[in-house]
Amino acid sequence: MSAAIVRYLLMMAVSFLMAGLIVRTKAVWAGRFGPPLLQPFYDFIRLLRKSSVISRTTSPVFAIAPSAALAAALTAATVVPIAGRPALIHFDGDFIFFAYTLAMGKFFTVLGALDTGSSFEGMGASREITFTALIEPAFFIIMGSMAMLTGHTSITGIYSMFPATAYDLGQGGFITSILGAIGAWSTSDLLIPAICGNIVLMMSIIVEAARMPVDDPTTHLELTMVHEVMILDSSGPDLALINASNTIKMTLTGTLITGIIIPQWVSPLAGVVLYLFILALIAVSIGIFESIIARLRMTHVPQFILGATSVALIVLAVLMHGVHR
Amino acid sequence: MGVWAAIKNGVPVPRLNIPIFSMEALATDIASHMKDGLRTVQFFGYPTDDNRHEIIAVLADDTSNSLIAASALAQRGQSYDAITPNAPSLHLFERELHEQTGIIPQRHPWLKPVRDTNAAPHFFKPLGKDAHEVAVGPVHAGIIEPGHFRFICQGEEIYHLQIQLGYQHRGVEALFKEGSPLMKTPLAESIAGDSVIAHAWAHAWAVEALCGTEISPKAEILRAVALELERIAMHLVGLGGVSTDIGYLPGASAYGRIRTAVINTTLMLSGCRFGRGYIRPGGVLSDIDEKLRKHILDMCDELWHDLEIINNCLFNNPGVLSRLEHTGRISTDLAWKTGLVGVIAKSSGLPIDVRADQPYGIYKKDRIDPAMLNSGDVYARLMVRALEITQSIGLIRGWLGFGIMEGDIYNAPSLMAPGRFVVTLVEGWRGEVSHVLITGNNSEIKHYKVVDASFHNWLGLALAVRTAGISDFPVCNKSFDASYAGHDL
Repeated sequence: MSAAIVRYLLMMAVSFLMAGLIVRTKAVWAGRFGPPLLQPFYDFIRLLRKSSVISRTTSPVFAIAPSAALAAALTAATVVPIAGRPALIHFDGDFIFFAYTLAMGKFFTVLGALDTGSSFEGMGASREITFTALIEPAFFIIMGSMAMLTGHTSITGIYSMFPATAYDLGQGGFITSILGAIGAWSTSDLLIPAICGNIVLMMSIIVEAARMPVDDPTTHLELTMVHEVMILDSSGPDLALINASNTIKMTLTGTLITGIIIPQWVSPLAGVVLYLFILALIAVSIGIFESIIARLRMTHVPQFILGATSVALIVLAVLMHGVHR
Repeated sequence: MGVWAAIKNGVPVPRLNIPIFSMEALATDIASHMKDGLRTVQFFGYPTDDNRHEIIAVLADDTSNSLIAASALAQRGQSYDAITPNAPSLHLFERELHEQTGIIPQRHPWLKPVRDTNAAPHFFKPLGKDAHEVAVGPVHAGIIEPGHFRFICQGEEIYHLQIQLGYQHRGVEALFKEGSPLMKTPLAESIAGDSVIAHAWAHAWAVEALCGTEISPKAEILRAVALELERIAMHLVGLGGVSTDIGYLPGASAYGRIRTAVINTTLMLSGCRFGRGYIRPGGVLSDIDEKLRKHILDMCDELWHDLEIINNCLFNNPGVLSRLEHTGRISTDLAWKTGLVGVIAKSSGLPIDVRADQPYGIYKKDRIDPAMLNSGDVYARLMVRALEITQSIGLIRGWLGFGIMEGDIYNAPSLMAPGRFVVTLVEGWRGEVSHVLITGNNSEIKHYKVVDASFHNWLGLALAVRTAGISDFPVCNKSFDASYAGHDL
């Protein structure tokens, strides 16, 4: 349990680094040095020390929205297995708990945005909800299919069924272990769901964390924003909490990806190292991806997101095939 | 139709040579000239000594490379039939006339203030519940100038955009009349900070024309070099700006970097990265030496090389193209009716370019062929700007490639001739920049009038974004790149 708590705290700490690494990657790609890796954390501290300016048109909903969003992200994080080990808590059906706790956080962010009465924030809220609604089926098809294939309905349970090998580092050597793992994966029913799951999760990082090409986190143009425009009225600690919940959400989805990749047989320390390595890889690839593409036209974003659903449908097809076999 | 005075770009005429019509006759004449394919360059009024207003119109006949002018006398509060219903491109000129002189263009469809931000707001309200309004500005998120944009939208689609400007109004035209007329170039340079050379040239030329000062050929070339450097630099800013707006990082970084090399060259030429303090009535203030000439040519070579690479990236990236193509379209017909000029006109199939149509300075010898595209979308506007950069590099290489001539760069101007009228047109990077200088009986500046390309082009933006998504507005806006300060004066 105490190890699980340490892993949980590690994920929180890493989330700032991940956000910093994306920014750094983009800066290096553009030929600049970029801000320090911990800049998101410094910003977090700086914002916490400021006071908030709250619009007179808002109601108490606006005041609680940032805390609710962060609380939701922190709660959802408790059921995510980190570094190849079981989550802090796990129970049957916790992937539904995970999805809807995050949805509740979003619900409050959107309410807070609408509460300001600004036409910008209304526009942003409408876009955010549309895109979230579009990515949701993909997540549930993937997780549902995996639950059906593994017979488990908690994320930890599902991940525990991923193929592991009899070898461990001590006996067979590293290469043999890797080859063994690849062999085990290649014959597993879970191979295609795992690959598709990673693709869908990568896409949902982009949508949920408001990254390119769906949203441009660096833009100053209110009319083109999705997530950023919803928090225009937030300042000081409120803004810090919202930004933190957003980075945590991004790391959560990244962690789900690492869970699929990290094999169960590695030692806890190796698991953590692998976990950090894969997260860094994800951050760098997001950074590079954002550096080389242009943002999508707003009307094309739904097509992009529905792409995730079609990838998820492949898993469903595999599942049906398996059932008929 | 009355007989209009034929004048030339930058050639002064005695004020009395411009025929005086009745206001009605002037208005109908303008409308029929517009039908014949002429463009309005200037249409303004100024108070005369006997408490009336003199209205002066200058039209450009681009096919015969000439200008025509006529005038009318009118009283404050007098009304006439508006020209706008017959020639929409005059809509802003008539609104400005109304605001500045109190003469009323009757049946003008939209007689709202141009620059008076204290006046009661004049906005069309959407009827019914389906459409909603989104108001942006005048204070914006980025470090840009102030302007108020009011969108009437249904969901993400823009029905119409209303633009209210005037927040930058500094009274530039009135300031020209204060103090010594020969000391006013810094004011001209401040009309729009991104078109320093264009406005300074138009102003200095007007003063020189009235003083009868001859400009040395060397100074003419140096002015043109500075103007083309300004064009290159600002076109690079525009290309980088659109790249930023669509989140295309390579474009944003690369154009920003090479633009610095260009403005640093302007710094070496003039002592200021934006060209301030270079052009003065009589010539230019700093000379060019062999080393600087080489440097400019080397910069051009490097620019040419880097541009080819980054232009290839930008204009061949499918994601970028999907954002640019068919976005914010202006048809050729609409562009003509709206009276658009410069890059915007050229990208909508209208080859309007003062350097070719009303040539001046070195452009009389080195005629240019305006870069032109027909599609009128954001892509075309960017492409025209990219093409103009290469064109400008070519011009600079031509002027400096074989050495630079000997000679003076400055001839001190003397007193301006009294009772004269002169209009100067210079093609800035945005498009036509026009200054009018009228001297009184004691050689003082009787009236000074400035029209920046932005004055012609702002309405085009409002029309281009109709039926576009509201999230495409920033990229349309950036592709128009109209100046707030240049409009507000």
